[in-house]
Order: sequence, then C-alpha cells, then structure tokens
Amino acid sequence: MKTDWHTSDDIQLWNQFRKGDADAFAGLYQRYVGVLYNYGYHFLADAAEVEDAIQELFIDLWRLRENLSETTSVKFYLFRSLRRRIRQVSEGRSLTVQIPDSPSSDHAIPSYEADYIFQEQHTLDLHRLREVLLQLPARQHEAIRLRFFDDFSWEQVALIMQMNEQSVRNLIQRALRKLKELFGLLAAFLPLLMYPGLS
Amino acid sequence: MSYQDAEDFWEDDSFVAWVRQGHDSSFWEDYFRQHPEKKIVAEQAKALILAASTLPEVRPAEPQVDRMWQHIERGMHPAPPRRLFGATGWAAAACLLVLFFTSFYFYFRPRASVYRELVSQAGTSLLETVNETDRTQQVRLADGSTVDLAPGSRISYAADFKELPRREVYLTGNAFFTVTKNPRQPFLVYSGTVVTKVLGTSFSVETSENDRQVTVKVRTGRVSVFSRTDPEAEQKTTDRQLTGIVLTPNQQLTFDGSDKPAGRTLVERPQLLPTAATSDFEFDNVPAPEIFRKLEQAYGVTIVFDETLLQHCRLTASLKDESLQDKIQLLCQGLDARYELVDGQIVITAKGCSP
Repeated sequence: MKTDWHTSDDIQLWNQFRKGDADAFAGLYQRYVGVLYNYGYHFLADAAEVEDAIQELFIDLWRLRENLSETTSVKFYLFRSLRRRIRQVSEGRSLTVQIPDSPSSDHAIPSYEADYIFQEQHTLDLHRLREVLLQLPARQHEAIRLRFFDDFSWEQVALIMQMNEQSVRNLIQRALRKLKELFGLLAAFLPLLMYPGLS
Repeated sequence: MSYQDAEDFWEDDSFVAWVRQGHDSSFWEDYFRQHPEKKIVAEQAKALILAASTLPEVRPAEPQVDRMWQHIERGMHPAPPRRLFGATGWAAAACLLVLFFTSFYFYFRPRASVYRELVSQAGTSLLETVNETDRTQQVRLADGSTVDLAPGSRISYAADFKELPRREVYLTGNAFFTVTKNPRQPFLVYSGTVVTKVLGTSFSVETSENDRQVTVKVRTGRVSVFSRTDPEAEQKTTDRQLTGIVLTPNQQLTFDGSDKPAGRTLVERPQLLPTAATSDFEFDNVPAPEIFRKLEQAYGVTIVFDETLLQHCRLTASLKDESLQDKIQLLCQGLDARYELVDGQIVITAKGCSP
C-alpha cells in the first residue's frame, strides 16, 4: 500500500516507516526537513554541518527502523535526535567555542543597539520585538524558539536541550529580564501592541 | 494559579495555546473579565509570544531538499561489500578513510561564519541555495534577477521581495549578478563586511574563504559599495540614491577586511558593454580625443586626457581583439604618450601635437 504523506498523520507515517515503508519515510523527511534545517541553522552549527547532520539522522533512522519504538511525537523525537547529533559532532571536534550562558553573556547586546531601540520606541512593533529576540544569548533564543515557534511544551524544550525544567525556567526568566531591560519598561510600547482578544 | 508577571503567563501552556491558536478562549475571556488588572502583563506576554512565533525562518530551497534526499537514499541502500580480502578488512579500511576525510573536512573547511551570522539575523524568512556541483549554477530570484553562483558558493534570499523595502541577498563565495532595474527597491548583496548596492545592473562579488576579503567587479551600470561597519551604513542602505564609493563598468574594488578598502582599479580584462555598437575600431586619420571618447563609450570607462593638447593629433589605427589596455598602449605609442591607471580611470599624459 502506498502511503500518501500529505494526508496521513505523523504516528501513522511513523508506524508505516518502522515496518519498512520507504514512501512513508520519504513523507516524514519532506514534512520535517524544513523545520529541522531552520532549527539547526539558528543554533547548532554552520549550514553544511546542519545538512550533514540531517542526512545522517535520516540514514540512521532507516537503518535502525526495526529497533525504533512507538512515539507520541515524531517532531520531538527528530528535534532531540538532531540536536544530540550535532552536539556530538561539535564536541568531538572541540573547535567551536561554547559561549556559556552566564550572566556576563547577557550583556552581549551592543549598547548602540539598545540606544537605537530606545530612540525608535515610538515606532516599535512586532518587527522590532523580533529583532530583539534574535539578539538574545543563544540558549535563551533557542528555548524561546523551541517553545513559541516550534510549539514544543516546556517539558519537551527541557528534554531537547538536555536540561532540567527548572533550568529552562531560569533561562526564560533571564530572557524576559533582558527584554524588559532593552525596552525600558515593556509597558512603554503597550499602547501600540493592543491585539483583539484582551481589550 | 495566580498570575503576577509576564513569566507566569509565558509558562502557562493553556495561555500560550490560546495566544497561538485561540484554544480555550472562553476560560481566558472570563479570566480577564474578572481580573482586568492582569491585562497589562498578559499583553506583554502575548506580544512576546506573537513575536517569537513569527520569527524568521531559514529553509533549504527545493533543489537542496532533493539533493539531501538523494544522499539519504544512497545511505539507505549501501552497495554490498566486495569480498577482496574479507569483509572485516574492508570495513576497517573504510572506517579509517572516513575518519581521515571527515576530520580533514571539519578542520579545513572554510568557515563562513560572517555569512551564517548575517543570515540567521535577517529580518525575513530566507531560501538558501548551495552550489555543490563543479560548474556555475544559475539561481533565478523572484524579481527576475539572476545569480550565477560559482561552485562551492552559497546564497540566501527571500522567496518573494514584494512586501520588502529592499531586495537583500547574502552571499559567501563568488557570484555574478544580473539585477533587474527597480530604482524604488534597491538590490543589496551582503558578503563579509561589505555591502554592494545597485538599482539595476550586472556585476560580480567574490569573497575569500573566510569572508574577509571581498572584491566587487562591475560589468554594466553603477554600483555603490560600503562597509557594514561604516557609521553611515544605515543611511547608505536605505537611501534611494547610490552613495558611498560608486563603481562604474569595468571597475573593481577590493576590501581586505580592514575598514578602508583599497582604491578603485580597472578589472583585469575590461569587457565591452553590451550596448557597444561594434567591437571593431577602425580609425582613419581621426583626432585622438574622438578615438578616446569612442573607447570610453564602448567600455563604459573614463579616460582622462587634455583635450586642447590632443586636438591636433590624428591617428590611423585598426583595433579589434586586443584588450582595452593594449588598445590604449598602441594609441599611446602613436601619440608618444603614456598612460596610467588612477582610481579606476585611465589617465593619458602626452606632449600633444602642433596644428
């Protein structure tokens, strides 16, 4: 039976693939290659390394398919595997300098950036907010992106990042503090950010 | 649960689901009716969630997705090992080889870190094309512009420029650009620390392995080049005019990683403009200034000479396949003159002729 990956749900594809259905496997690849690439690109390594890692991840999935168990979230499984894989590569190579997420790295945002933001506060919009999010230290940005962009639960974010949930919470609190600091009080731009729903 | 701060709302899965997809709406509508004082912090949390859920994406272009899949398919069905001196021996040899090549690959591969940083901080979603073939690959952009991407080079660009104030692309490696004319939407190439800005023209950008050295060569039209760290970079980016160092056809400029670029020079082999009427230059007793003006028009270069000194010099020459420099050299011999290249222009020094 040929599996149509456009309509089948993840679990169905996953189970078909574990039985050796190459079409279902291709479907999973088509479905997730874009988000995996995007995730890898922003946090883990350079573009060529992300490509290599995604290819190896899928090759290993296929080779080990008979040993794979059922899963409740295919996306979670793939993200976690990809992150682990690239970590191994970069640690084995130990050329990448890991920037620790210490309080000092919270000051990585150049001050002219902050000045610019203050100066532009009257035209502040979602676009600016996004720009500031991109300036956060890597791990804070990663946690925020996994939670709100890729829509994982906090528990899943912690598992993907191989941290305990409390550490993720601390990370998020630091990110929020940083954001508030950048905008003065967030309240300053609120009148411009009234969305239907709350008001 | 009591919600004190934006964090509390951020951490609440049901609040996040409500903001992202509108789930559970009656609960939250009721909640804010009963606790209007919580609206401000909730609004903060909401703005951040919306901003984060619409962060820019970087996705591989379709051909790249296909190429990666081909690689995976090869890995899914490995060729059966040939038994020459036993499977184990081969496996060991293969492992060694793989180890050797991968470590070389990782240690010596150029690290396009500036490029990567630029792309991941771009304000919009981008498509990326990598040329992993051994020949030039043409990429067609949404505005009709084309990029001839050299082997081993990569470029990121928006799938659609319509909603954007500028057409911005990010390059590491070498590429030749043919940009469609649109003065209202300037076209910018970011490569290393250098920004190349055009309104519509053709030119090439060449970056060295580590993105430090960038050379811009202009084929047609006008191009402005400036450093990203230029204090006026913001202004130069948004300006409708071309400001900064302006390059004209057959000129080139190299940035070597320091803030100050080297001066403009002529490209090694200037090309005739596509608009040039002819590539044959037959001159029969023609005043020298007229000859120089013909060459200026044909190549789009500037030739600096003293009109009054040369007005009585007449030359007869048949110029065809020589390079521009050789043509000028031949003319200079006939005039008992010499030439030099100054700031991308050809400067003729001559004694002149008596009437």
